[in-house]
Amino acid sequence: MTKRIDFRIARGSAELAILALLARQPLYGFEIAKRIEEDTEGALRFRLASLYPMLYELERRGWVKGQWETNRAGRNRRYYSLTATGRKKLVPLRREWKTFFRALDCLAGVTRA
Amino acid sequence: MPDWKLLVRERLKDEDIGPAPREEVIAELAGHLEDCFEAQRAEGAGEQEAVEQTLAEAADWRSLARRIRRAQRGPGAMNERTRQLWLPGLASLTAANLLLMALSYMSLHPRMVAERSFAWFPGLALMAAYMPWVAAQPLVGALGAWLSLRAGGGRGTRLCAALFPSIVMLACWGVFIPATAALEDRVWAAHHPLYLVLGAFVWVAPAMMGLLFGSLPFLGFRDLQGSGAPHSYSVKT
Repeated sequence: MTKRIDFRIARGSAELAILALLARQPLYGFEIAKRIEEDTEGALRFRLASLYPMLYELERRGWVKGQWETNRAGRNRRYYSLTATGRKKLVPLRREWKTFFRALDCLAGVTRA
Repeated sequence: MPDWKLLVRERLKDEDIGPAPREEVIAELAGHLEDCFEAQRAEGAGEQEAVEQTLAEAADWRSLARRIRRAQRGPGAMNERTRQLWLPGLASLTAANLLLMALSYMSLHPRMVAERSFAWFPGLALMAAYMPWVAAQPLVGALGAWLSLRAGGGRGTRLCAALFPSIVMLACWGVFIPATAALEDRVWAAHHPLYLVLGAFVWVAPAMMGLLFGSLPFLGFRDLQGSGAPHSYSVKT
């Protein structure tokens, strides 16, 4: 069976990171960036300039929804949560990335290195 | 601690950031910078260092504004419309007009034959150009619809691209010629409004039917938007 990998691989990785994180719980921008950095032990890092355009695009597509709420420190922050469409998109996105890593592994022995 | 909202508002003051409420975007970005600054301070950075680290989050505000704008408006919404409607529509219009020009030219040549034909049947030259032109319209409609389909156009867009030559023709007969007649008394349409209606019917309706007929095979396809994007990797698993 031939499976195709989306050409927008770098962009896709950022989308996957955000969607996977928001699938667990709603978070606001700074929390998203912090959690991604912590969970990947600093390997992935979002700056403001890369994070918000991505969030706005995901929101425009209807994959995430932003809502102003008060955080634990009593400040107004825009919390993003995954929509039903976003949840649906996450499934093939995860599958595609698994295929991609398996392909890389076949080619370069990534997991055996 | 700087007033982050003021700082963001100042940096984005001359930038178009798209359709989202400006103050909301400013508040959100300022909130991010504020949290960032406090995180730096909590890690032991001095105030000046924390400010510098925080400002490094967005070094180029013009570029950030452009990216936000693009994210909110979609990736080249205009380009997509151009590829799916305007270019296929223009292609079908060009094809229809070139065909009409070529057929008109051929129907008047050789001149001797054409002149004798005129004498025998005045409308022959016109009919000799018009009939094959109408007969060829399905091909023109198919071209417009096919190009639109290839670009990922939806069913309505494909139909518009196919019917584009007739839409333009209708605009000519319905708007431009009457407008010219209203402005200039010498124009024939000012004295023969019935001819105007007849002309519009003859040049629009049959051609439109032909275009529609030609586009039918391409209207049944499901929308290809999204699945038509090229892929750079193909692996066997």
